[in-house]
Amino acid sequence: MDRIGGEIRKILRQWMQLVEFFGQLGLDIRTDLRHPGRHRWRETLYYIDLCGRRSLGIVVLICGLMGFILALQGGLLIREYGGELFVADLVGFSLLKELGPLMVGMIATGRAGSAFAAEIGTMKVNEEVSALTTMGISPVRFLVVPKLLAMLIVLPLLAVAGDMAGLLGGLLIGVTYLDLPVSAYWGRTLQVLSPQVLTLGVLKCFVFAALITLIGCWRGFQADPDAQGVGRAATGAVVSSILLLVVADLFITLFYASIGC
Amino acid sequence: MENDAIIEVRDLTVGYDRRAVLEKINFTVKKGEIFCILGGSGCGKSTLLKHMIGLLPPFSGDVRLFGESMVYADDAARHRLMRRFGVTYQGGALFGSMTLLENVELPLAEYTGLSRAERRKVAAEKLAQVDLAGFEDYMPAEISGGMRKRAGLARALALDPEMLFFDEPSAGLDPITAAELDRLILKLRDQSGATIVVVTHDLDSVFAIADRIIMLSKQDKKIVAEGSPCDLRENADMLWVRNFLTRDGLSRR
Amino acid sequence: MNKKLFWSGFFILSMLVLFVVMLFGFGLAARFAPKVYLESYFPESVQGLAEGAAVKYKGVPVGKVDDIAIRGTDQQIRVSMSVDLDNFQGMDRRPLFADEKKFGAWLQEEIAKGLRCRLDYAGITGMRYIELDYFDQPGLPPEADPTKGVLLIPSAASPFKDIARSLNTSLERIARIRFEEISDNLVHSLADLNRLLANPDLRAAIESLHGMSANLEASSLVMKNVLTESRLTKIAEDTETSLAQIRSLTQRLNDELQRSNIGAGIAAFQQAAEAVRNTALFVESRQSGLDVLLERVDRALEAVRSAAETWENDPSSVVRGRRDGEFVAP
Repeated sequence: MDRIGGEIRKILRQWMQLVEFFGQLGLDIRTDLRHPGRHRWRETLYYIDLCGRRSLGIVVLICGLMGFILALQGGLLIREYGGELFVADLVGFSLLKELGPLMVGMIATGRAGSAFAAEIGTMKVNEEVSALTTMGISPVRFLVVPKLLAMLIVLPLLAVAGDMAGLLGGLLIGVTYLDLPVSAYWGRTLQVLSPQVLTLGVLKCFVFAALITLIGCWRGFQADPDAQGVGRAATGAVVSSILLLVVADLFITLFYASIGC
Repeated sequence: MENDAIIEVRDLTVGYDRRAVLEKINFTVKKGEIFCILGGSGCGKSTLLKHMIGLLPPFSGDVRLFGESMVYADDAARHRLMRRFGVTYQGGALFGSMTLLENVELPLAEYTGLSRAERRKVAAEKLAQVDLAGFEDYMPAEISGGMRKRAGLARALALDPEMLFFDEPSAGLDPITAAELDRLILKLRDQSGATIVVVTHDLDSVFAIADRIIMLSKQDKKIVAEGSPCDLRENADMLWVRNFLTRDGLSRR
Repeated sequence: MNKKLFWSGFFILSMLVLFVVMLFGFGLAARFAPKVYLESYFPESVQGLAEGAAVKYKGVPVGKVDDIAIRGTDQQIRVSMSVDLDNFQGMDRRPLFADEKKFGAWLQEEIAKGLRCRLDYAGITGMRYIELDYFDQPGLPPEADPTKGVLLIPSAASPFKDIARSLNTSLERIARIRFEEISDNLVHSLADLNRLLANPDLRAAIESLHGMSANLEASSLVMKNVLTESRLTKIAEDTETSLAQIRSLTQRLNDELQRSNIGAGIAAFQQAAEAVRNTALFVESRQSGLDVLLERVDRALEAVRSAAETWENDPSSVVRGRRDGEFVAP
């Protein structure tokens, strides 16, 4: 009975700490907005490089293959009815609205989310987080805000790259396997897709970026101060990020549907 | 002499998860003193230190630094207090992504309006003070454990604190390096007159530097002895204290 | 460090450029292109038309439907469209209309020449678009809606609506023919004939009509002459005209359906139309047994009428199939 009570208290405390974490984050973002010079620009740049440029290859590859696979699957089915050209619609819409942002989110979770959790977890083990606190520096401002800013910048851009790669992957299948002329496929793609579709998909990435960063960092701060604790934190960050990513995606899609987009 | 007390710990009860580690302890540290906290493994020395520097909230009781409460202070007041002391952690707790110089610069950048060049100059001075001149551009991973601790000390010194806390300064160091660090601690006290609190279980270090010590007991969850180390070694009431300070009577040959 | 800076910056900038390029590729530029706004009113159902549907001028996409609303006062459907002026080019391939005024003047001229908008089918999905083209029918007059800055264009009935109305006119004319009277007359004539043949006092007449009674075809031919020369001439002519009209309408409907690319799903109608045509041919070739024939004509016409009504009320049923069972083929 006492153990159950203890567990409940522990969970309750964790939630309270999470709320505190958000409060601290809000304060620190305000500080950085008021004093942009105090923002950790170099760290931000480092994470832009790590999560952005260095993720570009894998994003392009995976999204390209997604387009490839979609076109292949859709083509198999739709060519029975002679509607090969509609593969362009299928690939375009599913990539821009859904798969592009989601795949980028998944890749970022694997690359950045786990790295954030591991990094902050390790810093906690090494008492670097304590050192920051006793220096009077908010660990959230020092460790979370640069990551958050970097991810907010980088993820939408990666989604654009992923969308483009996916469309080109679809095009490749369209002109080879489905024997469509490049101009017809590409023309159809440009015709059916609207700036709105692209923008709405890319906007999702801002939410994904915030989710991945905050979950990764939170897990890092909550890591048990031992080597295994850091590993568990990284794994936990990836698992809960992926889950919440999909749930958030669902809600964003519902929201888009409700405003008629 | 009460007004000499720069650190006051009053009725402090601390612990983890509702399990108290230390109960209702009281002690004071005087200005300019080198004060050591001793105790067996797991007796709560480091926990006590974390509460004294405001990293953890105590179950009850108060910690007053410079006459101000650390426990009940609001964030701004606590930050003001934190500015006035430095902490050196066991492993140095340097930020791995920054060079030694940048590590020492960090508190300067946060708290002073110094220009970049001035900050670099001060930081280089602090590194020289801990005998790390010439290592400014090294990354923490590239230097030895003793050097990391000294670099951590340099960072703690960056803002010329009136009070310094050391968490196990000699842990994991060979005797010569440990002795160098002890010498450094003494030098610092003599140069700046800072109050120094050291958590340790290294007896050589204690006898070399401590003006006064307290000993914590895991069983009793309180302070079992207080006084100068030599005095306690000879005259402590508890056998356990005397045994502790003489390494269970096993003296050097 | 500088290298990292450079590549990070390069990454950010190139992705931003890609984003902007994609936005414009997907038609952001069109949002800034000069536009005019047209409105039209449709008395009929606009089932299958949606916001964003294409507006085409002679088949060339020139704009899209912005808004569809119901004018409550007379239940007409208001369709607001935007048309990109860039699509109209002069001989020098440059935009023909600099502003809305010039386009408006041109539009008035073209409306005078017969430019109308009407609903048309886009492919097999039942979705519709707005076609701007020249139709010989007067169309509905441009309803006066004194909204300034909005150009009005009269709407023409959609192909199905059009056909259904012509068909109805023909059917009404046919309906005026009193088939029962014809049939009764025929029966009476035949009965008279029989009586004539049966009369023992007229053996001579029997002899003289022997050849005729031996060959029913021949006798019915004579009978046709008799009937034609009788007071049924006018009625027969009416019937033939109407049947010819139906034939041509059927043909037109078929053409229209083929043009609209609606291949499947109209078997029922084609069957009905075929039956009408066959019946019409049959009527012409075999005037004998006219009562039976006329009954078949009646049934065929009923089927056509029912089909036409269905299409009029619910044009997309041509694709979907009718809800309440099959057409009854005569």
